[in-house]
Amino acid sequence: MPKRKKAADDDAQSEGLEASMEKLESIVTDLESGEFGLEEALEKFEEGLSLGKRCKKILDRAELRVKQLVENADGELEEKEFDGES
Amino acid sequence: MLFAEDGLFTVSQLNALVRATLEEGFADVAVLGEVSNFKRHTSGHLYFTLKDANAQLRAVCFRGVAQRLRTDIGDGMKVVVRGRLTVYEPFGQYQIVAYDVNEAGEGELEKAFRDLKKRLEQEGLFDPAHKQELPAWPMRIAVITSPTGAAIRDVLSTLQRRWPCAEVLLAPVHVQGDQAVPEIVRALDLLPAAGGVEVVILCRGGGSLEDLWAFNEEAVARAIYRCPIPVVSAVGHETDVTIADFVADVRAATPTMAAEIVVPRREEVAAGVDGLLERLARYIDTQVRLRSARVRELLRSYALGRVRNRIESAMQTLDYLVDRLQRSAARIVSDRRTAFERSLERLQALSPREILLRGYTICTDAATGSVLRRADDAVAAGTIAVIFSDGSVTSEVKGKQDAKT
Repeated sequence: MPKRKKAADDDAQSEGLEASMEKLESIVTDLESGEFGLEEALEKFEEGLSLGKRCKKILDRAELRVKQLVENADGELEEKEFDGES
Repeated sequence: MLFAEDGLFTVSQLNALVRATLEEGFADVAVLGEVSNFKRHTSGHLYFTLKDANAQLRAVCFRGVAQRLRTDIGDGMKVVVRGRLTVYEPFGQYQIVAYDVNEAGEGELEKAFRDLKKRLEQEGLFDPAHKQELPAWPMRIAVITSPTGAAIRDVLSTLQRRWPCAEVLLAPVHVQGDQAVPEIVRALDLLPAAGGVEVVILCRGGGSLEDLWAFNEEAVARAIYRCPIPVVSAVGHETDVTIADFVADVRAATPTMAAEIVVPRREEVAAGVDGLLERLARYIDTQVRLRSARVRELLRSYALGRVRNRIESAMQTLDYLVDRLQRSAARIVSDRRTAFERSLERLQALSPREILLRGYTICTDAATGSVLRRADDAVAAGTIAVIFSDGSVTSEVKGKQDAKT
Protein backbone atom coordinates (compact mmCIF):
# COMPACT_ATOMS: atom_id res chain seq x y z
CA MET A 1 0.00 0.00 0.00
CA PRO A 2 1.38 3.40 -0.91
CA LYS A 3 1.60 5.90 1.93
CA ARG A 4 -1.30 8.24 1.83
CA LYS A 5 -0.37 11.78 1.06
CA LYS A 6 -1.74 13.53 4.08
CA ALA A 7 -0.77 11.03 6.73
CA ALA A 8 0.67 13.76 8.90
CA ASP A 9 -2.47 15.86 9.22
CA ASP A 10 -4.01 13.55 11.74
CA ASP A 11 -2.11 11.47 14.22
CA ALA A 12 -4.86 8.93 14.49
CA GLN A 13 -4.67 8.25 10.79
CA SER A 14 -1.00 7.37 10.73
CA GLU A 15 -1.84 3.86 11.81
CA GLY A 16 -5.04 2.45 10.41
CA LEU A 17 -8.02 1.40 12.40
CA GLU A 18 -7.73 -2.18 11.33
CA ALA A 19 -4.07 -2.50 12.28
CA SER A 20 -4.69 -0.84 15.64
CA MET A 21 -7.61 -3.12 16.40
CA GLU A 22 -5.65 -6.21 15.48
CA LYS A 23 -2.77 -5.16 17.69
CA LEU A 24 -5.09 -4.36 20.57
CA GLU A 25 -6.75 -7.71 20.21
CA SER A 26 -3.47 -9.58 20.25
CA ILE A 27 -2.30 -7.62 23.31
CA VAL A 28 -5.46 -8.48 25.21
CA THR A 29 -5.29 -12.13 24.21
CA ASP A 30 -1.60 -12.20 25.13
CA LEU A 31 -2.19 -10.71 28.55
CA GLU A 32 -5.07 -13.02 29.27
CA SER A 33 -3.24 -16.15 28.32
CA GLY A 34 0.30 -15.46 29.46
CA GLU A 35 2.29 -14.90 32.59
CA PHE A 36 4.08 -11.58 32.46
CA GLY A 37 6.29 -9.70 34.85
CA LEU A 38 4.83 -6.51 36.22
CA GLU A 39 6.90 -4.26 34.01
CA GLU A 40 6.03 -6.11 30.82
CA ALA A 41 2.37 -6.46 31.72
CA LEU A 42 2.06 -2.76 32.40
CA GLU A 43 3.80 -1.88 29.19
CA LYS A 44 1.41 -4.06 27.22
CA PHE A 45 -1.51 -2.69 29.16
CA GLU A 46 -0.54 0.89 28.40
CA GLU A 47 0.04 0.14 24.75
CA GLY A 48 -3.38 -1.50 24.63
CA LEU A 49 -4.95 1.56 26.17
CA SER A 50 -3.44 3.95 23.71
CA LEU A 51 -4.39 1.67 20.79
CA GLY A 52 -7.96 1.54 22.07
CA LYS A 53 -7.99 5.27 22.43
CA ARG A 54 -6.70 5.70 18.89
CA CYS A 55 -9.44 3.43 17.53
CA LYS A 56 -12.09 5.38 19.40
CA LYS A 57 -10.70 8.64 18.14
CA ILE A 58 -10.91 7.44 14.54
CA LEU A 59 -14.42 6.06 15.02
CA ASP A 60 -15.62 9.22 16.73
CA ARG A 61 -15.22 11.33 13.62
CA ALA A 62 -18.81 12.23 12.90
CA GLU A 63 -18.54 14.02 9.60
CA LEU A 64 -17.81 12.18 6.36
CA ARG A 65 -14.97 13.95 4.57
CA VAL A 66 -15.57 14.17 0.84
CA LYS A 67 -12.94 15.20 -1.66
CA GLN A 68 -12.95 15.37 -5.38
CA LEU A 69 -10.13 14.11 -7.54
CA VAL A 70 -8.94 16.69 -10.03
CA GLU A 71 -6.29 16.33 -12.67
CA ASN A 72 -4.33 19.54 -13.11
CA ALA A 73 -2.78 20.85 -16.31
CA ASP A 74 0.42 18.84 -15.71
CA GLY A 75 -1.58 15.63 -15.41
CA GLU A 76 -0.97 15.51 -11.67
CA LEU A 77 -3.69 14.43 -9.30
CA GLU A 78 -5.05 16.89 -6.78
CA GLU A 79 -7.74 16.56 -4.18
CA LYS A 80 -10.20 19.35 -3.68
CA GLU A 81 -13.14 19.77 -1.35
CA PHE A 82 -16.29 18.40 -2.90
CA ASP A 83 -19.29 20.66 -2.80
CA GLY A 84 -22.10 18.11 -2.71
CA GLU A 85 -24.84 20.69 -3.14
CA SER A 86 -23.83 21.66 -6.66
CA MET B 1 -33.82 -38.56 -58.11
CA LEU B 2 -33.76 -40.62 -54.95
CA PHE B 3 -35.08 -44.12 -54.83
CA ALA B 4 -35.83 -46.55 -52.12
CA GLU B 5 -34.64 -50.14 -52.65
CA ASP B 6 -37.85 -51.23 -54.28
CA GLY B 7 -38.31 -47.92 -55.98
CA LEU B 8 -40.81 -46.59 -53.43
CA PHE B 9 -40.42 -44.76 -50.12
CA THR B 10 -42.66 -45.36 -47.25
CA VAL B 11 -43.97 -42.07 -45.80
CA SER B 12 -41.85 -42.63 -42.74
CA GLN B 13 -38.75 -43.15 -44.80
CA LEU B 14 -39.37 -40.06 -46.82
CA ASN B 15 -40.07 -37.86 -43.82
CA ALA B 16 -36.96 -39.15 -42.10
CA LEU B 17 -34.89 -38.43 -45.17
CA VAL B 18 -36.30 -34.92 -45.53
CA ARG B 19 -35.73 -34.32 -41.88
CA ALA B 20 -32.07 -35.38 -42.07
CA THR B 21 -31.54 -33.19 -45.10
CA LEU B 22 -33.17 -30.17 -43.48
CA GLU B 23 -31.32 -30.59 -40.20
CA GLU B 24 -28.01 -30.82 -41.99
CA GLY B 25 -28.65 -27.88 -44.26
CA PHE B 26 -30.31 -25.52 -41.72
CA ALA B 27 -28.61 -26.21 -38.42
CA ASP B 28 -28.45 -22.57 -37.40
CA VAL B 29 -30.67 -19.97 -39.03
CA ALA B 30 -32.21 -16.70 -37.91
CA VAL B 31 -35.61 -15.74 -39.18
CA LEU B 32 -37.65 -12.59 -38.76
CA GLY B 33 -41.39 -12.83 -38.42
CA GLU B 34 -44.52 -12.01 -36.51
CA VAL B 35 -45.80 -14.33 -33.81
CA SER B 36 -49.31 -15.79 -34.08
CA ASN B 37 -51.14 -18.73 -32.53
CA PHE B 38 -48.85 -18.44 -29.55
CA LYS B 39 -49.41 -21.21 -27.05
CA ARG B 40 -47.58 -22.02 -23.82
CA HIS B 41 -48.08 -25.72 -23.17
CA THR B 42 -48.36 -26.99 -19.60
CA SER B 43 -45.10 -28.82 -20.21
CA GLY B 44 -43.38 -25.43 -20.49
CA HIS B 45 -42.73 -25.71 -24.22
CA LEU B 46 -43.83 -22.79 -26.42
CA TYR B 47 -45.57 -23.31 -29.76
CA PHE B 48 -46.29 -20.56 -32.23
CA THR B 49 -46.43 -19.69 -35.87
CA LEU B 50 -44.07 -17.21 -37.48
CA LYS B 51 -45.52 -15.37 -40.39
CA ASP B 52 -45.07 -12.48 -42.77
CA ALA B 53 -47.50 -11.17 -45.39
CA ASN B 54 -47.28 -14.27 -47.56
CA ALA B 55 -46.02 -17.25 -45.60
CA GLN B 56 -45.97 -19.14 -42.34
CA LEU B 57 -43.56 -21.31 -40.43
CA ARG B 58 -44.24 -23.45 -37.37
CA ALA B 59 -41.96 -22.74 -34.45
CA VAL B 60 -41.34 -24.53 -31.21
CA CYS B 61 -39.32 -23.43 -28.24
CA PHE B 62 -38.64 -26.17 -25.73
CA ARG B 63 -38.83 -25.55 -22.02
CA GLY B 64 -35.10 -25.35 -21.33
CA VAL B 65 -34.70 -22.53 -23.85
CA ALA B 66 -38.05 -20.94 -22.98
CA GLN B 67 -36.93 -20.44 -19.39
CA ARG B 68 -33.84 -18.54 -20.47
CA LEU B 69 -35.56 -16.18 -22.91
CA ARG B 70 -35.02 -12.51 -22.16
CA THR B 71 -38.17 -11.50 -24.05
CA ASP B 72 -41.75 -12.31 -23.19
CA ILE B 73 -43.18 -13.30 -26.52
CA GLY B 74 -46.80 -13.09 -27.50
CA ASP B 75 -49.11 -12.83 -30.47
CA GLY B 76 -48.43 -9.92 -32.81
CA MET B 77 -44.87 -9.41 -31.69
CA LYS B 78 -42.13 -9.10 -34.28
CA VAL B 79 -39.35 -11.42 -33.31
CA VAL B 80 -36.11 -12.90 -34.53
CA VAL B 81 -35.94 -16.62 -33.94
CA ARG B 82 -32.59 -18.33 -34.05
CA GLY B 83 -32.78 -22.07 -34.36
CA ARG B 84 -32.51 -25.19 -36.45
CA LEU B 85 -34.98 -26.55 -38.94
CA THR B 86 -36.43 -29.97 -38.51
CA VAL B 87 -39.44 -32.04 -39.52
CA TYR B 88 -42.09 -33.22 -37.14
CA GLU B 89 -42.48 -36.57 -38.83
CA PRO B 90 -45.94 -37.60 -37.57
CA PHE B 91 -47.45 -34.58 -39.33
CA GLY B 92 -44.91 -34.24 -42.10
CA GLN B 93 -44.60 -30.66 -41.07
CA TYR B 94 -41.37 -28.79 -41.05
CA GLN B 95 -40.66 -26.36 -38.23
CA ILE B 96 -37.99 -24.32 -36.56
CA VAL B 97 -36.74 -25.35 -33.11
CA ALA B 98 -35.63 -22.18 -31.40
CA TYR B 99 -32.32 -21.64 -29.60
CA ASP B 100 -33.24 -18.06 -28.83
CA VAL B 101 -36.05 -15.61 -29.45
CA ASN B 102 -35.57 -11.85 -29.30
CA GLU B 103 -37.83 -8.96 -29.99
CA ALA B 104 -36.93 -7.59 -33.41
CA GLY B 105 -35.23 -4.23 -33.26
CA GLU B 106 -33.64 -4.50 -29.82
CA GLY B 107 -31.20 -6.86 -31.42
CA GLU B 108 -27.91 -5.14 -31.95
CA LEU B 109 -27.03 -3.99 -28.44
CA GLU B 110 -28.30 -7.25 -27.02
CA LYS B 111 -26.15 -9.18 -29.41
CA ALA B 112 -23.09 -7.07 -28.69
CA PHE B 113 -23.70 -7.60 -24.99
CA ARG B 114 -23.99 -11.35 -25.34
CA ASP B 115 -20.99 -11.66 -27.62
CA LEU B 116 -18.75 -9.55 -25.37
CA LYS B 117 -19.93 -11.34 -22.27
CA LYS B 118 -19.18 -14.69 -23.85
CA ARG B 119 -15.76 -13.60 -25.05
CA LEU B 120 -14.68 -12.03 -21.76
CA GLU B 121 -15.99 -14.98 -19.83
CA GLN B 122 -13.96 -17.38 -21.94
CA GLU B 123 -10.94 -15.18 -21.44
CA GLY B 124 -11.38 -15.49 -17.68
CA LEU B 125 -12.30 -11.90 -16.79
CA PHE B 126 -15.19 -13.10 -14.62
CA ASP B 127 -13.09 -15.75 -12.91
CA PRO B 128 -13.99 -15.92 -9.19
CA ALA B 129 -10.34 -16.68 -8.43
CA HIS B 130 -9.39 -13.21 -9.67
CA LYS B 131 -11.91 -11.45 -7.44
CA GLN B 132 -10.38 -9.38 -4.67
CA GLU B 133 -11.63 -9.37 -1.13
CA LEU B 134 -13.09 -6.16 0.21
CA PRO B 135 -11.38 -4.48 3.17
CA ALA B 136 -13.29 -4.84 6.44
CA TRP B 137 -13.09 -1.22 7.53
CA PRO B 138 -12.08 1.02 4.65
CA MET B 139 -10.98 4.48 5.73
CA ARG B 140 -10.54 5.83 2.23
CA ILE B 141 -13.19 5.00 -0.36
CA ALA B 142 -13.16 6.13 -3.97
CA VAL B 143 -16.41 6.63 -5.88
CA ILE B 144 -16.38 6.81 -9.67
CA THR B 145 -19.60 8.39 -10.84
CA SER B 146 -21.24 11.60 -11.96
CA PRO B 147 -20.82 14.37 -9.38
CA THR B 148 -24.37 15.54 -10.00
CA GLY B 149 -26.37 12.33 -10.22
CA ALA B 150 -28.63 10.60 -7.72
CA ALA B 151 -26.07 7.83 -7.32
CA ILE B 152 -23.44 9.97 -5.57
CA ARG B 153 -26.07 11.40 -3.21
CA ASP B 154 -27.28 7.91 -2.29
CA VAL B 155 -23.73 6.68 -1.72
CA LEU B 156 -22.69 9.69 0.38
CA SER B 157 -25.78 9.66 2.57
CA THR B 158 -25.40 5.94 3.21
CA LEU B 159 -21.72 6.32 4.09
CA GLN B 160 -22.49 9.26 6.35
CA ARG B 161 -25.14 7.23 8.15
CA ARG B 162 -23.10 4.04 8.63
CA TRP B 163 -19.43 4.98 8.60
CA PRO B 164 -18.80 8.72 8.85
CA CYS B 165 -15.22 8.24 10.02
CA ALA B 166 -14.13 7.46 6.45
CA GLU B 167 -12.84 9.72 3.74
CA VAL B 168 -14.44 9.67 0.30
CA LEU B 169 -12.58 10.50 -2.85
CA LEU B 170 -14.90 11.23 -5.73
CA ALA B 171 -13.57 10.68 -9.23
CA PRO B 172 -16.07 12.67 -11.31
CA VAL B 173 -16.91 11.17 -14.72
CA HIS B 174 -19.63 11.27 -17.31
CA VAL B 175 -21.67 8.09 -16.97
CA GLN B 176 -23.15 8.25 -20.45
CA GLY B 177 -22.27 9.80 -23.77
CA ASP B 178 -19.00 9.79 -25.72
CA GLN B 179 -16.76 10.85 -22.84
CA ALA B 180 -18.07 8.22 -20.44
CA VAL B 181 -15.90 5.27 -21.44
CA PRO B 182 -12.53 7.05 -21.62
CA GLU B 183 -13.22 8.94 -18.38
CA ILE B 184 -14.24 5.84 -16.46
CA VAL B 185 -11.22 3.93 -17.75
CA ARG B 186 -8.89 6.78 -16.82
CA ALA B 187 -10.38 7.07 -13.33
CA LEU B 188 -9.91 3.35 -12.74
CA ASP B 189 -6.31 3.56 -13.94
CA LEU B 190 -5.46 6.69 -11.95
CA LEU B 191 -7.01 5.84 -8.59
CA PRO B 192 -4.20 3.56 -7.42
CA ALA B 193 -1.88 6.56 -7.75
CA ALA B 194 -4.13 8.70 -5.53
CA GLY B 195 -2.74 6.71 -2.62
CA GLY B 196 -4.42 4.87 0.21
CA VAL B 197 -7.66 4.12 -1.62
CA GLU B 198 -8.86 0.80 -0.24
CA VAL B 199 -11.99 0.17 -2.28
CA VAL B 200 -13.68 1.66 -5.35
CA ILE B 201 -17.41 2.04 -5.93
CA LEU B 202 -18.26 2.36 -9.63
CA CYS B 203 -21.88 3.39 -9.98
CA ARG B 204 -24.65 5.20 -11.77
CA GLY B 205 -28.41 5.43 -11.38
CA GLY B 206 -31.02 3.74 -13.53
CA GLY B 207 -31.59 4.32 -17.22
CA SER B 208 -32.29 2.62 -20.51
CA LEU B 209 -30.03 -0.01 -21.98
CA GLU B 210 -28.49 2.72 -24.13
CA ASP B 211 -27.94 4.97 -21.09
CA LEU B 212 -26.10 2.21 -19.25
CA TRP B 213 -24.07 1.26 -22.27
CA ALA B 214 -20.72 2.61 -21.11
CA PHE B 215 -20.75 -0.11 -18.46
CA ASN B 216 -21.04 -2.75 -21.19
CA GLU B 217 -17.94 -1.61 -23.03
CA GLU B 218 -14.91 -3.82 -23.25
CA ALA B 219 -12.50 -1.01 -22.31
CA VAL B 220 -14.32 -0.45 -19.03
CA ALA B 221 -14.41 -4.20 -18.34
CA ARG B 222 -10.65 -4.48 -18.84
CA ALA B 223 -9.93 -1.43 -16.69
CA ILE B 224 -11.95 -2.95 -13.85
CA TYR B 225 -10.12 -6.22 -14.30
CA ARG B 226 -6.67 -4.68 -14.07
CA CYS B 227 -7.52 -2.30 -11.20
CA PRO B 228 -5.41 -3.42 -8.22
CA ILE B 229 -7.99 -2.01 -5.80
CA PRO B 230 -11.20 -4.00 -5.22
CA VAL B 231 -14.08 -2.64 -7.31
CA VAL B 232 -17.75 -2.79 -6.34
CA SER B 233 -20.13 -2.08 -9.23
CA ALA B 234 -23.66 -0.76 -8.92
CA VAL B 235 -25.24 0.20 -12.19
CA GLY B 236 -28.91 1.05 -12.63
CA HIS B 237 -31.64 -0.79 -10.78
CA GLU B 238 -31.77 -4.34 -9.40
CA THR B 239 -32.76 -5.82 -12.74
CA ASP B 240 -30.01 -4.19 -14.79
CA VAL B 241 -26.96 -6.36 -15.20
CA THR B 242 -23.95 -5.02 -17.09
CA ILE B 243 -20.62 -6.45 -18.17
CA ALA B 244 -19.04 -4.23 -15.50
CA ASP B 245 -21.04 -6.17 -12.90
CA PHE B 246 -19.57 -9.45 -14.07
CA VAL B 247 -15.98 -8.22 -13.95
CA ALA B 248 -16.27 -6.27 -10.70
CA ASP B 249 -15.06 -7.94 -7.52
CA VAL B 250 -18.52 -7.50 -6.03
CA ARG B 251 -21.79 -6.56 -7.72
CA ALA B 252 -24.30 -4.49 -5.80
CA ALA B 253 -27.89 -4.07 -7.00
CA THR B 254 -27.98 -0.30 -6.39
CA PRO B 255 -25.56 2.49 -5.39
CA THR B 256 -27.06 2.54 -1.87
CA MET B 257 -26.45 -1.18 -1.53
CA ALA B 258 -22.90 -0.77 -2.77
CA ALA B 259 -22.23 1.65 0.07
CA GLU B 260 -23.80 -0.75 2.54
CA ILE B 261 -21.65 -3.62 1.31
CA VAL B 262 -18.46 -1.58 1.44
CA VAL B 263 -18.63 -0.26 5.01
CA PRO B 264 -19.60 -1.71 8.38
CA ARG B 265 -21.74 0.08 10.93
CA ARG B 266 -19.63 2.33 13.09
CA GLU B 267 -21.53 1.26 16.22
CA GLU B 268 -20.60 -2.37 15.67
CA VAL B 269 -16.90 -1.65 15.34
CA ALA B 270 -16.97 0.73 18.31
CA ALA B 271 -18.61 -2.01 20.38
CA GLY B 272 -15.70 -4.28 19.41
CA VAL B 273 -13.17 -1.73 20.64
CA ASP B 274 -15.12 -1.29 23.88
CA GLY B 275 -15.17 -5.03 24.38
CA LEU B 276 -11.38 -5.20 24.09
CA LEU B 277 -10.88 -2.27 26.46
CA GLU B 278 -13.24 -3.97 28.89
CA ARG B 279 -11.08 -7.09 28.82
CA LEU B 280 -7.99 -4.97 29.32
CA ALA B 281 -9.59 -3.33 32.36
CA ARG B 282 -10.62 -6.69 33.75
CA TYR B 283 -7.10 -8.00 33.30
CA ILE B 284 -5.50 -5.14 35.21
CA ASP B 285 -8.15 -5.42 37.91
CA THR B 286 -7.27 -9.10 38.36
CA GLN B 287 -3.60 -8.17 38.56
CA VAL B 288 -4.30 -5.61 41.25
CA ARG B 289 -6.30 -8.15 43.24
CA LEU B 290 -3.58 -10.79 42.98
CA ARG B 291 -0.79 -8.44 43.92
CA SER B 292 -2.81 -6.90 46.73
CA ALA B 293 -3.43 -10.32 48.18
CA ARG B 294 0.29 -10.99 47.99
CA VAL B 295 1.10 -7.76 49.83
CA ARG B 296 -1.50 -8.47 52.48
CA GLU B 297 0.11 -11.82 53.04
CA LEU B 298 3.54 -10.24 53.25
CA LEU B 299 2.28 -7.62 55.68
CA ARG B 300 1.18 -10.40 58.01
CA SER B 301 4.65 -11.93 57.80
CA TYR B 302 6.16 -8.48 58.27
CA ALA B 303 4.14 -8.20 61.44
CA LEU B 304 6.02 -11.27 62.56
CA GLY B 305 9.27 -9.52 61.72
CA ARG B 306 10.47 -12.10 59.30
CA VAL B 307 10.48 -10.46 55.88
CA ARG B 308 11.65 -6.87 55.99
CA ASN B 309 13.28 -6.75 52.59
CA ARG B 310 10.49 -8.48 50.83
CA ILE B 311 7.82 -6.21 52.25
CA GLU B 312 9.80 -3.19 51.24
CA SER B 313 10.04 -4.39 47.69
CA ALA B 314 6.37 -5.37 47.65
CA MET B 315 5.42 -1.91 48.84
CA GLN B 316 7.53 -0.41 46.11
CA THR B 317 5.82 -2.64 43.58
CA LEU B 318 2.47 -1.38 44.74
CA ASP B 319 3.57 2.24 44.57
CA TYR B 320 4.86 1.63 41.11
CA LEU B 321 1.59 0.03 40.04
CA VAL B 322 -0.32 2.96 41.48
CA ASP B 323 1.84 5.49 39.67
CA ARG B 324 1.59 3.72 36.36
CA LEU B 325 -2.14 3.24 36.63
CA GLN B 326 -2.59 6.86 37.56
CA ARG B 327 -0.70 7.95 34.49
CA SER B 328 -2.66 5.52 32.31
CA ALA B 329 -5.95 6.57 33.79
CA ALA B 330 -5.25 10.14 32.84
CA ARG B 331 -4.87 9.06 29.24
CA ILE B 332 -7.68 6.62 29.00
CA VAL B 333 -10.88 7.09 27.08
CA SER B 334 -13.26 8.63 29.56
CA ASP B 335 -16.06 6.08 29.47
CA ARG B 336 -13.67 3.26 30.29
CA ARG B 337 -12.33 5.08 33.29
CA THR B 338 -14.38 3.71 36.15
CA ALA B 339 -12.90 0.23 36.10
CA PHE B 340 -9.41 1.66 36.49
CA GLU B 341 -10.45 4.04 39.19
CA ARG B 342 -11.86 1.13 41.12
CA SER B 343 -8.55 -0.68 40.83
CA LEU B 344 -6.66 2.40 41.87
CA GLU B 345 -8.77 2.96 44.94
CA ARG B 346 -8.39 -0.64 45.95
CA LEU B 347 -4.63 -0.37 45.61
CA GLN B 348 -4.31 2.88 47.42
CA ALA B 349 -6.43 1.78 50.32
CA LEU B 350 -4.10 -1.12 50.73
CA SER B 351 -0.82 0.67 50.50
CA PRO B 352 0.95 0.85 53.89
CA ARG B 353 2.08 4.31 52.92
CA GLU B 354 -1.57 5.40 52.75
CA ILE B 355 -2.17 3.94 56.15
CA LEU B 356 0.75 5.92 57.55
CA LEU B 357 -0.48 9.05 55.81
CA ARG B 358 -3.81 8.70 57.58
CA GLY B 359 -1.99 9.12 60.94
CA TYR B 360 -1.19 5.58 61.92
CA THR B 361 2.35 4.58 62.82
CA ILE B 362 4.18 1.31 63.09
CA CYS B 363 6.39 0.60 66.12
CA THR B 364 9.34 -1.70 65.99
CA ASP B 365 11.93 -2.86 68.46
CA ALA B 366 14.82 -0.49 67.78
CA ALA B 367 17.33 -3.25 68.31
CA THR B 368 15.76 -6.17 66.43
CA GLY B 369 13.39 -4.45 63.98
CA SER B 370 10.46 -6.68 65.00
CA VAL B 371 7.08 -5.06 64.76
CA LEU B 372 5.60 -4.42 68.20
CA ARG B 373 2.02 -5.47 68.55
CA ARG B 374 1.54 -5.22 72.29
CA ALA B 375 2.31 -2.51 74.85
CA ASP B 376 4.14 -5.07 76.94
CA ASP B 377 6.49 -5.82 74.01
CA ALA B 378 7.33 -2.10 73.83
CA VAL B 379 8.14 -1.99 77.55
CA ALA B 380 10.32 -5.06 77.12
CA ALA B 381 12.14 -3.50 74.18
CA GLY B 382 12.87 -0.26 76.02
CA THR B 383 14.03 1.63 72.94
CA ILE B 384 11.61 1.58 70.02
CA ALA B 385 11.47 2.94 66.46
CA VAL B 386 8.21 4.68 65.46
CA ILE B 387 7.71 4.68 61.69
CA PHE B 388 5.83 7.59 60.10
CA SER B 389 5.11 8.04 56.43
CA ASP B 390 8.10 10.31 55.96
CA GLY B 391 10.62 8.65 58.31
CA SER B 392 10.98 7.23 61.77
CA VAL B 393 11.95 8.42 65.25
CA THR B 394 13.66 6.55 68.03
CA SER B 395 11.94 6.75 71.43
CA GLU B 396 12.47 5.58 74.96
CA VAL B 397 9.54 3.84 76.64
CA LYS B 398 8.75 5.67 79.89
CA GLY B 399 5.67 3.92 81.11
CA LYS B 400 2.64 1.87 80.24
CA GLN B 401 -1.14 2.31 80.65
CA ASP B 402 -3.49 -0.62 80.44
CA ALA B 403 -6.32 -0.40 77.94
CA LYS B 404 -9.58 0.61 79.60
CA THR B 405 -11.61 -2.48 78.89
